[in-house]
Amino acid sequence: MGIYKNLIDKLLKLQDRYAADVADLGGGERKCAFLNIVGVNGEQLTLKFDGAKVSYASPDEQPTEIFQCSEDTFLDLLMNPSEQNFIDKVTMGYFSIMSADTKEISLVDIEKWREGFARLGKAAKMALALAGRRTSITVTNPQQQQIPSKRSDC
Amino acid sequence: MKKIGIASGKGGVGKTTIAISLALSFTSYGSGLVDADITGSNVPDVLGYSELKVKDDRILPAEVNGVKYVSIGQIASRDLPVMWSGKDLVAAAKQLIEKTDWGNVNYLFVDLPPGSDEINQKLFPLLDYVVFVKIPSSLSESKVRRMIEMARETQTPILGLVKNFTYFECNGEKVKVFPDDGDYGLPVLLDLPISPEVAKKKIINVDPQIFLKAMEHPVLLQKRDNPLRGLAKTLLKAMSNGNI
Repeated sequence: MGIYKNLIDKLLKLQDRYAADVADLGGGERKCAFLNIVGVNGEQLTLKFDGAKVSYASPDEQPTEIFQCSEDTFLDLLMNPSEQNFIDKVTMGYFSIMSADTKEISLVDIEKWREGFARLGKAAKMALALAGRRTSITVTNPQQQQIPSKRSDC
Repeated sequence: MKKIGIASGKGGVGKTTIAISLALSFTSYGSGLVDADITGSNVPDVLGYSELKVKDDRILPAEVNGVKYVSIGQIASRDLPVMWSGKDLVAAAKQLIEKTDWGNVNYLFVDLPPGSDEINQKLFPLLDYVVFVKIPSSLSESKVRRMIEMARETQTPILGLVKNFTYFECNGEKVKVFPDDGDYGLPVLLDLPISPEVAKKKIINVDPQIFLKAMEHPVLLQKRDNPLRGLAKTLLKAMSNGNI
């Protein structure tokens, strides 16, 4: 999970700088959804989507929807952002969307969030690209392996 | 709104064709269609893959030729298998029926999945009626019998039987290809031939009056006699009489 946590930390920092591109994720004003990202050893990291911003969730908050996916799926959605990729992941059961009330899959919310996730991925990709031109972003995995980002000439 | 399930224990017997044909023939009464076969949806292959929209936590159905319809095929990826848990499959099928804004639909036809699995077990109690589709095949016969038992168990009224592929017409003569081992004591609503025309159009001309008449006099197959049920009835009766 370390490498993904590191990446998410970077993205959340970049979010403030490029907030306009991430705004209105599609969940609606009153909505708040939690995304559980599950690591290979079962460890979890929970993000909160409140319609305009992504942040780490705090335990006392009550979401209206709960999403769940593996860290690989999350990374794939960020790196290949499109409605089709999102729906492919949902169809194959890699990404689940359920109502927090019923704990059942929610077709209405799949439709509501498909566009939001495509936008989130595009914004994250753009933020990383823009940030990469100004600073060197390194994502460190648990074995401390350095993965340098592409650096432009400017 | 009356909900009418189109069921058969077996796949490939013509459930979807019958369900679509019924929905199209009932448009003047206000008709809708649910493709509840989540893992094998193919209603959109016939009616089109119009995307579903949502508004205020309700699904807005697509509409073609006066029929409102919803299918998981309009949400999920077309060329990928729907790999959801049994619980999610049931929830999705129920949501297509219950969370859709059906508006002026009076007759909702539900194209049920094959088999007697959890989806059918959970959907049968939501239905007002069920129509069974069978073909003359020993593999179909045994499965339809099991589904009829399920209807009895869930006390879902059975409108009758649609017998598909029963004959073909040759020089004006009806030729039966396969032996048919009966109607299970159900009224036969339609007796359909093997027809290249149907295969091309995927639609059958159905007379709605046959089905409306059956709805007026449904063959309500009651649950099997159960001594405990009898006891409960006796107790309830005694309590209402003030004897206990």
